[in-house]
Amino acid sequence: MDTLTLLLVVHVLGGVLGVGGATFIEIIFNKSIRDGVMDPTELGFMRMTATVLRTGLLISVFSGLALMLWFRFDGQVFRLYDPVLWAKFTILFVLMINGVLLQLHKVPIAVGSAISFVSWYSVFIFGLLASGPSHPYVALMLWYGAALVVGGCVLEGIRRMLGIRLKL
Amino acid sequence: MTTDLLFGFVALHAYSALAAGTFFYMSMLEAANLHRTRAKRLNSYAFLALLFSVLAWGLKLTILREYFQEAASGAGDFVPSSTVPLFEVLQTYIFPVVVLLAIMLFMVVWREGHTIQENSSARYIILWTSFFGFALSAVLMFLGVLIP
Repeated sequence: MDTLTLLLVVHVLGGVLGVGGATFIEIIFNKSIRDGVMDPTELGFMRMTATVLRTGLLISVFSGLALMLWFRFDGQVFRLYDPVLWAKFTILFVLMINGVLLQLHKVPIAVGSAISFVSWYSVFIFGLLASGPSHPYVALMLWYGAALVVGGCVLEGIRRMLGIRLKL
Repeated sequence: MTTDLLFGFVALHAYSALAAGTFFYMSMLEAANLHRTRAKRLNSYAFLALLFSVLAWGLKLTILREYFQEAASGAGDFVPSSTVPLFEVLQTYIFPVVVLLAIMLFMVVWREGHTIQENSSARYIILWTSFFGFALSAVLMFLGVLIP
């Protein structure tokens, strides 16, 4: 296995842990909050899944930088100016700020969890797009914005179907 | 300096800036935890952010010195790019700011870290200092990779 393939495998692994973590946080959260309280066991599961998500984030960021350096030294600088890559960075920034705002209770949990869930999937899908033809940055961000609205509504719809009412 | 060695310095610099940004972010997350901020942990994060930002600055200065020496002598593998002056100006101004923010963060955490639960102004100073440190470190990391 060459270095580039190894870096890509590690990067995808980070993404998988992140997307999986975000999915399970959403599932565990909705399941736990159904009875109105979150007991210590449920809280423990949430914390464990959040650790997996943060590990995934760390792995994908560190391997992402290694990939950038690889392209830089390999003379493929054009890849660093790919709008898909910059869209991924923007979403990553949104994810990180959302994490802090959730900790500070400045964002309602329903909104924050929807942002986290949709953002992780967007980064994952944009990562798949990176191997194909390039797309304009503005178009990607508009898609992301639309995905946030639709994803947020769908998640809220699922919660209402389950009888969960969260403050928005 | 050989190109391989220089690439090593560039990689180390970018990773130091990333590590500094990561520790700034972790300080921010720890300070944002309204239920249980652990002062000891906050202290370690602030110290590591300071350590890595100083390391990143030192490595950047080495790289810039090498670049300008080679550019002046006309030797080496570097091809001067029209974007270099902009990168250089940005880096020259941003690096000392990041180190200064890291020093500020460390001092505030050292003095007020244990009172953060009841001292909301200290919490907000730590939050904003680490946020700016995180954002600027991220900018420096990108510039570090993009600079020829």
